[in-house]
Amino acid sequence: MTQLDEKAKPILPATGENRPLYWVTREAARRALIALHAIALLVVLIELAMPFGADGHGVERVHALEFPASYAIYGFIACVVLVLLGRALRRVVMRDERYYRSED
Amino acid sequence: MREEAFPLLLDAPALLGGVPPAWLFFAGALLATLLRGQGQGLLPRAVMLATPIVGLVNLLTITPGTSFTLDVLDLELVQLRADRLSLLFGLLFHIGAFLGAIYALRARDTPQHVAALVYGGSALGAVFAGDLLTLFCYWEGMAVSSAFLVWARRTPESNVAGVRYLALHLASGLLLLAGALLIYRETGDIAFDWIGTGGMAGWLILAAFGIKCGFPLVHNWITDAYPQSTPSGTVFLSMFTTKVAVYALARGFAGTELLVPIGTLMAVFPIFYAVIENDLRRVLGYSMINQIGFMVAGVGIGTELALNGAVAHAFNEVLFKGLLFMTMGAVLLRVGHVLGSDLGGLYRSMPWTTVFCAVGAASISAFPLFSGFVSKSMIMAAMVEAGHDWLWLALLFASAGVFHHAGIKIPYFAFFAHDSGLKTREAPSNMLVAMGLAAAGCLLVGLFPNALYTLLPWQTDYVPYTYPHVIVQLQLLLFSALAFAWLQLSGIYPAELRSVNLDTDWLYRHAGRRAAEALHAALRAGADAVRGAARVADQPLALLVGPRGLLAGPIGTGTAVLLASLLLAGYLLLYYVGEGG
Repeated sequence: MTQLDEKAKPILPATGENRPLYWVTREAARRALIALHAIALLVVLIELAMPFGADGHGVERVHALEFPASYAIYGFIACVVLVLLGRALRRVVMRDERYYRSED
Repeated sequence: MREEAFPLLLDAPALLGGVPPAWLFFAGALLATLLRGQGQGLLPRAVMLATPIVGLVNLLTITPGTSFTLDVLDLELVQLRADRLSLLFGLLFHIGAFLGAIYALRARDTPQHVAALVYGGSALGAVFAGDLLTLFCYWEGMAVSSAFLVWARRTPESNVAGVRYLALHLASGLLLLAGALLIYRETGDIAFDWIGTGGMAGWLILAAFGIKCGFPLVHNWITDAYPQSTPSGTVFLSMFTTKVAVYALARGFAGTELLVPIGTLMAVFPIFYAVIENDLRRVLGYSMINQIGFMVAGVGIGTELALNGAVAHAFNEVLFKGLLFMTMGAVLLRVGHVLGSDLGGLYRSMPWTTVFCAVGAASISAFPLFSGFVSKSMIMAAMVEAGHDWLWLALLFASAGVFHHAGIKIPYFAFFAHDSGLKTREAPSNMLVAMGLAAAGCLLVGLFPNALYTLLPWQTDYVPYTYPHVIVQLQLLLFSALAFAWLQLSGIYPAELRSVNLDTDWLYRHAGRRAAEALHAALRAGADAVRGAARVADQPLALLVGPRGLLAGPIGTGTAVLLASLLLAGYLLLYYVGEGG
């Protein structure tokens, strides 16, 4: 007996963009992507316009990252490296979803 | 550690006289059991909801320094050792149990509710335990009661996962007991204070805590068992066991340098698995190991800032990880699974769940104004102060990674991505209330960090909201999001696929099983060989004493008398020989 809701019925159509919170359309997604780029750029520009000061007071970081936009560059590279290594890991460890089923 | 009373202390005289918090939960569990089936199953659920409230009132009358001791044989078993560290975890577990109870309110499953109460009580017992034997008893209580929460799903998968889970946790308990006995033999005292790794006992207890914490190689029980439990079972599971382990590490192994690299490894390696995992509750399991890694590293540094950070992050994780497990539990309830490959577009039918998931995602990602930001940064700052530059860079990598898989992947693949064609309903109202309260907690801590900082065990003047800190954190997160968007659009991001990813459980679920089968076959062959040899040896004997042997046939009276006489003569002979000697 699972807690799966047996009575779950399709009571809402998958459309209805005029309902509250039903705002994500393809166009909205495109605009959100543009906004993401704009805000990311803005945050870097803010740092360039108002540098943190020589001692970087207010945030503890290692010397290796004491240059402008360092966190932006590190974050971007980190995620690309993460995904590429994840893809490599998948080649080693991924199996069919029934892999353990016969043994359990 | 701060000596002054808890800021939330109730002024009223002790209403319940400072009862050990665990006992109230056990009483609640007993009452719920006795009321089973009463009021159409409503009464046990009312008890489950009321227990954390009564418990909280009791907790807030306890001042630091209070203790409650049972004398058993010549041992003093400290059931209640109240200081700022144990009281903070006590408060946290009451909040967690209350949110979990609201979330579970709709499930008509008294055994599950009773298991949750016993589990919460055992967790409270463990954090208030003042000696190692009491800690061991509650440690085992947690193991057994939480296994029942895994089994509560009542599927073949949850049954076997629960057995694997229990085996590992009982092993942890045995290691703890062995360490405690060694300490008792060496010192004659079983008080649970700082232990360290100075002797064999320390290493045994560190291993026991490490299993419960999800140290690398013994981490797999989290990702194996948690995705198999019920929607509410997983919420309870995510709140207690690993947090008790972090508490125990902070109490017994603060400043143990080895914990810094171990914690960093825990923070880094699960994010690779999380990126390729399809079961979204398992993704949260990996994410949990990642977050505990930050706490373990903080405990390893051992400064007041680091320990405060570790404890504060544990507090926040109960809220935001509990919230994320709640949102995925709601999806599980409504859709029947949480496979990223088959979900998508649920924001239309589950808008509130989507919003709450986004709050949990922002909190775990440490976005400014959300709870993770004000606690994780304490650990990061302490890492730099302690001079762990390389490990700090690894933790920053893990911070970007956690945003990638928990912050973006979970909400994106469940609620957006593509239109999966799934049409369902919003989560039930009790679940929405629980999620709403947890989300409010995440925001409250994020907006007013001093509310949490005043509860912390050690004095702190840490200021999270500085101009550089907000800017660098936004840079890290926004450019991680950009990387996700670009990789997703270019098709490089690994697609969600129905699959199993081999992890250390492969060692006992596959390799160990093969080895056991091979050993069994070898033993069986050996036994067959011995049996064959015995059969060969049997044959000459069978001629004499077998069913058709010489002695088996009928013999006459004369022969019998002759044999008896020979026997007596032989006896007589032996007697004389003996006398002669």
